[in-house]
Amino acid sequence: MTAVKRWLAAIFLLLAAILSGSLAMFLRPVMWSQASFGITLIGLVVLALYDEENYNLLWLAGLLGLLCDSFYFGFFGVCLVSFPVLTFLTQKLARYIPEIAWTKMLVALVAYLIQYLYLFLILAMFNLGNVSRSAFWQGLGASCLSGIFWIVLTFWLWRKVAQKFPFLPSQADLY
Amino acid sequence: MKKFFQNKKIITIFVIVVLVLSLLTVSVHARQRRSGPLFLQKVGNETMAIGSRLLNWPLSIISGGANSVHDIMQAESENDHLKKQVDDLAQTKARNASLESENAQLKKALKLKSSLTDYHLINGSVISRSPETWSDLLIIDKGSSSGVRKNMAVMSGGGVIGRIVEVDQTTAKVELLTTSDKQANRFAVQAKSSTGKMIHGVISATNGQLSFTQVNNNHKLKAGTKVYTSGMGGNSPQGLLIGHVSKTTKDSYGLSDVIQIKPAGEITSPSIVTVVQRKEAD
Repeated sequence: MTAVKRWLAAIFLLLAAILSGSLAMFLRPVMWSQASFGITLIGLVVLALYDEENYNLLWLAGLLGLLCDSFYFGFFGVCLVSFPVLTFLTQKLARYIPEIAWTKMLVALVAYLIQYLYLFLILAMFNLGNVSRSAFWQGLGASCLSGIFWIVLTFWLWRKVAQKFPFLPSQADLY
Repeated sequence: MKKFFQNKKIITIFVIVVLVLSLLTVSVHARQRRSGPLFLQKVGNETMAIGSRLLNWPLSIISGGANSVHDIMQAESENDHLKKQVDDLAQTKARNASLESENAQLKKALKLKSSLTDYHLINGSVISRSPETWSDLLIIDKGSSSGVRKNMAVMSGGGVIGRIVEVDQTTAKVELLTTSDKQANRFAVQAKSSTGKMIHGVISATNGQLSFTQVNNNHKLKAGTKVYTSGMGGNSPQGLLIGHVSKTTKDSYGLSDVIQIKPAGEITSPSIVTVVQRKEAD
């Protein structure tokens, strides 16, 4: 396996992290003003579901979280925490989840919404946002819809990456 | 308590939660105080910015195509509107030139090099936006190398849309006026009341709605009154348009007025922005 194939999952996730910002810029005004565009988290969760024993994904999630926090927030603790924690929990849960695509999609959606709730918690705790109850529910609805949209759109890609090009596989996985 | 200290899992979770909260506290406070990001953060930001510029190229072609169709459909009504304004333009330009020369002469007489209304403009493009809900941050393609500094005002579409909160070498982060971050710096603004008195206050936002708060007296502002930056606070120049008064309501306690502002700038989808660099006043 060439080096590019071993790092393909990381390259795709980095592209997804960059693309989320670009999509938010182009689509937020016309589609969902209150929705989140967290394609990176969807990718990490799907990779974790299909590659549940690859703990290299955890430090990759941490690194991507660091980049996303630095670029999109200017402070650390949102993606830097949620990405590795949700990846770890998904890997632990993966063995109990049936091998059906839609159940895995559902897990990705739950992770997407947990990220939304975590962000809300941080904003409220650190006075970084004054979100009313109605705005919270509207945002949750919009995030749910956008989550379904992005999961349906990208699930096949992440599954293929996880199955064909696992991130830095161990020698045991190769043979 | 003895059981708590014997359970390693609980202790580990407790330590992780404390570490996360500490990290958040330190980094949030550091962002407010420091003038620029840390070196490692700068490297990460620049890498992401290069990627954003590359990815935006095909996306902007698609988006540009869709906008062109929309523009063509709007062209006739826009043309009629502009024809009406062209008639006034020549007269306004002549008057502006005469006032500018008079202003320059008066400043020379008073030996004033610059005043609160003097500023330079730096034009840039939006290259990315925070993908998470409620995070009102834009990333623009101008940074410290172009003269952008923290707290400078940013305009788009004819009005102020926010201020610079973080500056890298080639990029900067803009916090929109609509942010509900209670720690964010606010613009000091002013507006002329119906009695002719100047009213001062600050702009704040709740759930994306701008309001003119901390008003210094009880003079009423009519709907449509223009609200400008006052130049107080030392960061933005005087006279930048923020928006128009849309209506005045009472706060939830019914005690003070809440003057709602309709923003003049393009806050929803800014693509081209202008960073306003205030000249130092004498």
